[in-house]
Amino acid sequence: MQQYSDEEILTLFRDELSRNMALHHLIQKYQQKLYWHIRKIVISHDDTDDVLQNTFIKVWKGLAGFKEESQLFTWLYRIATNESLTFLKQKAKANTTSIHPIEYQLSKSLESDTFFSGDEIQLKLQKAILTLPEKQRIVFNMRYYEEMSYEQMSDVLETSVGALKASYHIAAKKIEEFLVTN
Amino acid sequence: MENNDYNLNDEPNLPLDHNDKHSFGLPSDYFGSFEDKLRKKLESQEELNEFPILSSIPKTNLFTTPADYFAIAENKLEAKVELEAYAKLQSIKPFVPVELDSEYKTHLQSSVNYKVELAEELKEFKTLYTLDKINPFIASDAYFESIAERVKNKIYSGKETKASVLNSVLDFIFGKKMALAFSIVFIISLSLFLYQSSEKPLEMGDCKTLACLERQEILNNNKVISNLDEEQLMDLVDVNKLNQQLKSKKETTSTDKLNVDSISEDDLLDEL
Repeated sequence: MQQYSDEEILTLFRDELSRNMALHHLIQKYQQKLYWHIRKIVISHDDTDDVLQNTFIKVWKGLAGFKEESQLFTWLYRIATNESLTFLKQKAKANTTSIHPIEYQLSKSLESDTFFSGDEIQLKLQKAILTLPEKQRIVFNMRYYEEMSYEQMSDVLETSVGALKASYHIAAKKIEEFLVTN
Repeated sequence: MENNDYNLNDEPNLPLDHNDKHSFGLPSDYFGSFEDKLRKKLESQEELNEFPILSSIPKTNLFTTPADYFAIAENKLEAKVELEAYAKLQSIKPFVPVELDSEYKTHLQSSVNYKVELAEELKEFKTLYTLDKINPFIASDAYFESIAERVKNKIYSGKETKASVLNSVLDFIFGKKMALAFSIVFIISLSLFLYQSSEKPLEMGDCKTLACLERQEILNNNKVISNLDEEQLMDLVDVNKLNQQLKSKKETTSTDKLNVDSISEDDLLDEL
């Protein structure tokens, strides 16, 4: 299937008749990128599915007000990140029975996750990532796995490039220590 | 060369005995077919003699082939023969590399540089650096084929979102937190009810002394009264109050009697 540019998608959206097509192309273009971005934050496939759907619904509802000051891609990532974080907060609130923090629960759920194919070292790496604070975890995943530039990350997370570099460095250091000691 | 007397015997590429009649080889049956070949050549020349202009044009091949055509063709043929045994492999079209455009080359260069930059960044973290950068997560089968449809349905029906609002309200009402709060409230109210029903607070009345309070307590508790003998009961009675109550009772009964007199027989029968 032909992949439309962001500009073309927005043009299709502006016309009432081609709006449905715009939605189709928007989802086709960004579903995988956003899925993996969300998945690395919320870990479970089912939770990712919920968050991804909510993300697209929010994007769709807000697309009319999108001012094109930033790239469509950064805007989508920002919504997906916020949705993921909100979801985790809600999950932590809802789970009153456990005394452990949400990250610990996510780490435990990885061991029995049927949609996780990593070997022992990959599992260890994921567990190490889950020991990081929320923001550091996102920064690390965006840089390490998604190989985003600091400039793009800065647009998405609305944080300075310098702070992101420092955050990534600290995160990598913590992960290295975890991998060595555990 | 200093010595001009070249000796053929010194030539390394010739057999030692250069006078040997077998030193130069010939294709097999060369002399046998020679006459036949010569005859054919003469025949064709004679044929052309009728056309003097044509016979004057030198017989040269003006067509050329691409460089290494025959070598490549030979290789191709060889590969084809090799593949003869594998029917499936033969059906697959071979990959033909396309010349890369300059834009792609620049893009490739910058992406390689970026990859190097990313790797350099991780170099100081030895374990992390040596790890394979793979995505260990997997999505369910055909997930990405169906997600677009599901999102579209959700957006256009709008029912799902309403349901999710309803669900969230229901979740809130029947959620764990609410259940916990309700059970706590229920336990507290039940224990309060039980406490109040068993331990009624002592009515102080007109009591000003401890003895009076004690008497009040005994009067409030039926079980204690039932265990008292007559004398003890008489001690508990407030004589003045009893007299007053009796007086007031008398008055009420007399007024009641008056009322009864005024009631007609029919009304009394109705009451009965």
